[in-house]
Amino acid sequence: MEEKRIKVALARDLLQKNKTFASDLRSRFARQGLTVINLLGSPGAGKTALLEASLPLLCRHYRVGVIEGDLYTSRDAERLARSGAAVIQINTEGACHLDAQLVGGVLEELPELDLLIIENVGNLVCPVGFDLGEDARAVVLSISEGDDKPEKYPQTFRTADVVILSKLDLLPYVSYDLPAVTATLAQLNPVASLIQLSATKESGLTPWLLWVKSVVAKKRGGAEGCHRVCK
Amino acid sequence: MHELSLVSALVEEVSRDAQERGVSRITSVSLAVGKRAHALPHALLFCFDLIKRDTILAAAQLIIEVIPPLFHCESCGLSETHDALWLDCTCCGLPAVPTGGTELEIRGYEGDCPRGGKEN
Repeated sequence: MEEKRIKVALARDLLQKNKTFASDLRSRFARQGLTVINLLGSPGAGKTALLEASLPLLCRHYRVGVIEGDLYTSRDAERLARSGAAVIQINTEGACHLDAQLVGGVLEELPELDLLIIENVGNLVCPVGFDLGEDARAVVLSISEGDDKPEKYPQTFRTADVVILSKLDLLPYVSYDLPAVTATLAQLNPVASLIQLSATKESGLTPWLLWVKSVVAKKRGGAEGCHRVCK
Repeated sequence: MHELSLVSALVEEVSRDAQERGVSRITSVSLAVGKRAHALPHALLFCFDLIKRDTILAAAQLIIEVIPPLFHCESCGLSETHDALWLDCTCCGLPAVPTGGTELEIRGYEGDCPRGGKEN
């Protein structure tokens, strides 16, 4: 039989499969009235430390769950399990980001929740394009990483709803141009709020807790008094 | 190295479409990759050569078109291509919004079809 050469135009988004899974997750979260935050940042930026410091406070008012994404080990999940939150570890075994299908696969293991925080794999590059059905995206950037990271990894910071500048207590000990970082972040993403804190010193946590609370309140479609979480 | 999952999605998507059309062998696949898409063309090519083995794409060449970043000024409507992280509109000076350069799009493919498959 004679073969015919054919040309097919597709114009198909390569991330469509993940976007479809994420859209299904978003509908599921909406039905459940569950607020979901995707927490991003480099390895060692302080994502887990931020959760360690804030989960006990958040757990007083919400039923909180955490999905921990790491290549290997359940070390972070063990750290957070002490907080009172329901914690599930996903080990990606080499993969550099979580995707919506991976998240969807563990939801059945979580109890009924008000707030789910997904701590993504430590990485400022790969998780950016993978929507997890979240309501908001928080990016943790530590003082010790250096002040050039927003310019080196702009897409992560462009997609953030809030940027948390962590390990602020180290500022006197490192060379760090805080005004320059603030200016860069304002240029890259004029709408994201910038919160400066030190999780291990438990200082500056209130604006972060208020931000989380505002995301929950927005999802629920009503305002709640701010004093509940942050007193 | 998320290029591996991107290329897996590409091979899966193109294979499915080709089978529906009765294509027996794919000779080339065109992919548009934005400069801000966080996917490196050379890593995509490397992964493609690994993933395509034992599939309908085994003999296919991956053709990558790199899409430059695009900025759009919401004030005066000017769209311009620029490598900068951010850009003040060269016409009116107001901050322009990044609108392009994050594409990851399978443009299409070419292949051989013994039964005279359907183009589109």
